[in-house]
Amino acid sequence: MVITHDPVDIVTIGAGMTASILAARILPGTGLSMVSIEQGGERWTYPDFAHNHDSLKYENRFEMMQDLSQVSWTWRPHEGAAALPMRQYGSFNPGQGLGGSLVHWTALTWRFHPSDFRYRSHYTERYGADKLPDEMTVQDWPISYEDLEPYYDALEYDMGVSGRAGNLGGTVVPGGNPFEGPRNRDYPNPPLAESRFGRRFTEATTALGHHPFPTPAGILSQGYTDPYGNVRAGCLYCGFCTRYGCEVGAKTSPLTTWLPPALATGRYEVRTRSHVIGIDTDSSGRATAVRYINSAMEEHVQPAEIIVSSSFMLENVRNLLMARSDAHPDGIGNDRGQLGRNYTYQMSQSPAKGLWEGERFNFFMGNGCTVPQIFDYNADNFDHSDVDFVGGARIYPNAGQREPIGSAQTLLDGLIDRQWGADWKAQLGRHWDSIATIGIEGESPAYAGNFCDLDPNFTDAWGLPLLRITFDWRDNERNMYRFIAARCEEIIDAMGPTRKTTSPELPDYRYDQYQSTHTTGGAIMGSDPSNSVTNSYGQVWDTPNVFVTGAALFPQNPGMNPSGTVGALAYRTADAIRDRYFGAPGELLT
Amino acid sequence: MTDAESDHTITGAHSGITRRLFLGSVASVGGLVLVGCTSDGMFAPDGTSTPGAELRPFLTAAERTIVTAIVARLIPGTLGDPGGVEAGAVDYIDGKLARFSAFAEPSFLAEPYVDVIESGPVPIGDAVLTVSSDQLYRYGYQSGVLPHELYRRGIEAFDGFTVARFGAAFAELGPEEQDRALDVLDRLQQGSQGGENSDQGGENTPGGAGGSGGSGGGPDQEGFTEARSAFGDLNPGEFFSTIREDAIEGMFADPSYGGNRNLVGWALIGYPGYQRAWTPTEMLLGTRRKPQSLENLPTMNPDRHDEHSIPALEQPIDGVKDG
Repeated sequence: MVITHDPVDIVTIGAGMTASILAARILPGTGLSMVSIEQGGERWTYPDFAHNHDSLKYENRFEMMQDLSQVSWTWRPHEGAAALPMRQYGSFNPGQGLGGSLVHWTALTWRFHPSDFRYRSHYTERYGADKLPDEMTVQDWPISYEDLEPYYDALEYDMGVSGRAGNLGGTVVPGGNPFEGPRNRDYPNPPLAESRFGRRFTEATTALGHHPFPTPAGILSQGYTDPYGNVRAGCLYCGFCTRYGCEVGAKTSPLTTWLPPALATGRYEVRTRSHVIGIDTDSSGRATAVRYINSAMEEHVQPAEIIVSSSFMLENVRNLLMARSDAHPDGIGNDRGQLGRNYTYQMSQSPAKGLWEGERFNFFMGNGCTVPQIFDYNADNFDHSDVDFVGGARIYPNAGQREPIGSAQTLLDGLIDRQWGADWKAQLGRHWDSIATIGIEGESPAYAGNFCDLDPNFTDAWGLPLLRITFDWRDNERNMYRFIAARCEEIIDAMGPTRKTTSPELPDYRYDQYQSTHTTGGAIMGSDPSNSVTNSYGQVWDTPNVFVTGAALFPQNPGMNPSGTVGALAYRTADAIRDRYFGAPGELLT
Repeated sequence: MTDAESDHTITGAHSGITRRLFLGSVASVGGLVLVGCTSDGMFAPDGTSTPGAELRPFLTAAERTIVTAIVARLIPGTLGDPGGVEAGAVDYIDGKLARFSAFAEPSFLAEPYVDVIESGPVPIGDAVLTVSSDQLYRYGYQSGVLPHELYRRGIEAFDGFTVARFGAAFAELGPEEQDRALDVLDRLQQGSQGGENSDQGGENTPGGAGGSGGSGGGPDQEGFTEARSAFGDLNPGEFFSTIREDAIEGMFADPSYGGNRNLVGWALIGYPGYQRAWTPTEMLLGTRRKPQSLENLPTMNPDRHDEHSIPALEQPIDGVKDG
């Protein structure tokens, strides 16, 4: 038996960051109704995170992550190789449950550079058409930094972002990021506290002529009442942040920020432990409903005017690929073969590691945002005329939240030969808090050979095909890494370690080691249906009552964390749906 | 309940899957069922609060002797300078094996499994699932061997290897020979990890990679051939990395999991354990706080039912329920 619910105005697949933003921006002040179907369970700051400092449970056993026993993703380095599933957590860690991955995130909250939005035009204009390799399929976004600035601004104030402005209305402000785009006003809260190692990085990079600045964090540096009226506490620097829910609500999440005003309308409902198995379409190809299996294993149908795929990037691409019908034989959004194209990732590596004999840096305190950053070698902030690559990376010192189990596994790699035994134990005991890395988070340009489609061999717990990722690094990224790694070595030398070890060359991409949860692209936005899946609102060209939110929309991935731009894009989409869509339902927004 | 090993067919959500599982016991002591181990390898509750209760051991006495001897070389210790054994890492490992019929972390175990070839061209095609041995490390765990089998058969194989190469069971060797035996497995594991790439990955690297072991040819000066021969279809490197990872968990996890007894692991590295908060001053200048386990960590926003109670700022909100 299939249970069909009364129609609502909007149904979303997933109840994470962007779904809660849509609900909080659209529902108050309108009479609209919205339902979110969420695969994970309900959880709240209190009581669910009240006693959660348990590294084994959260870091090593992945308590907050999508249940891999139910669904995974396959990967292969190129089309000629076998694609195998991620059987245990490796490269990336998508979350599940109310609030989605934005509950366990690290909370770096960036605005992309103005040049990031004009990627192909920017490099072509500055360096000539030959600068971009032929195989690179990077393209301009259909939206500019200036278009998005008001939404970045609103997002930062709703989240209470802690940071220091670097460019106020075109005037560079000392101590902030001089490479950021012009902002209308400063961050709503001052930067988080500094770490000991971070202070040393600031001194060294300043002496080298770089421009260190505090990480903009979606973590409150002090008590804050947001524009919705949520009253929130500041960060306690407890050291359990990434992969954890925040027990005081200082780390911004849907639970702290958007769900309270959305649920207060009484016109928003979240159905947890319910797994979407399909998007229904009618004979004209218009989407009509979302189909799911609920917690009692019953099949349900939720009809709606608007269907939003607001899951994690990988699931969003899969949701559309699986929505095959006579009208859309290759899936929704794929009438012109654009779906799955421009899958990109993030180059997250630690090229240099040092040991400072006798130092204690207190790495177990703080979080991933209590450090400075430099953007001097990110994007096109440095001259690429004489280098053999495009792109760049942010460079940062080892952040806080060192946990004992995971760190003991790998901390001495590269510093001693044998990673067990009496010497290993003695060195770990002596140096556990004295070893630190210089890390990078780099760009991932798009290529025709890196893409997502449906796997022909593996299915999930509901018998549906897994998403297949085809991805590997190219020479551009190897060259970029070599250059950035050399800068990291200069920085670590300036920081005076007793010993160091470096990784001057980019290793092959591997699926089994955690690098970054910033998988991007696959359902990209663009200027017209010939180069993209959606318009700048995430509205699917060939099925305009379907929207996609999140990082699947990115044409390629810049050298910084995606959530700030994911949020700003969702704000813009929410306003367009609220103010304009229902005046002409099913029409493309312009 | 029994702890008999049995062949078991998974009849869970993954239809058509048949994998041989060595079922652990679902412990029942004094009428208290501790953990409902799921038979399909799904993620089971970790059971952090089982005061006074004990799981029926997974390891036999003979197996426990070998695991103890291995842990004593991986993280050596004495009473005055505790190592893995003194920390209770062996109890931790046995408890983990007893508590989980498959993995303690969520794992995708559905078939098919990959075929690995040592040399020659790799066939190409959508239905082909063949990977060359030198590329296998990039995909992570793919062997399909579950921890019960890896320990049970791996321990026996390891003993077989040391008898063949050193003339005695592992636990009877001297410390230097024990280290040489472990070193063979370690180097097989390193050799399967793509050379320099084995140094990559930062602090959150999961282990258990499914490499097939080193591929160096020539005479067996290293002991690689003997090790491979003793382990048969099991991967000696996977056995080594699993037991190393488990020993580290037993040394450094919260004591409620059975290891890190008296917080000796945290004392070793100078980790003050689980605290509610650190101040910005402590972040710069350090701390002298005593190490504290989860048991002694006060709950944030505890429920209090008196006139002084202040409700938590963040409370559940209506409108969210299971579909």
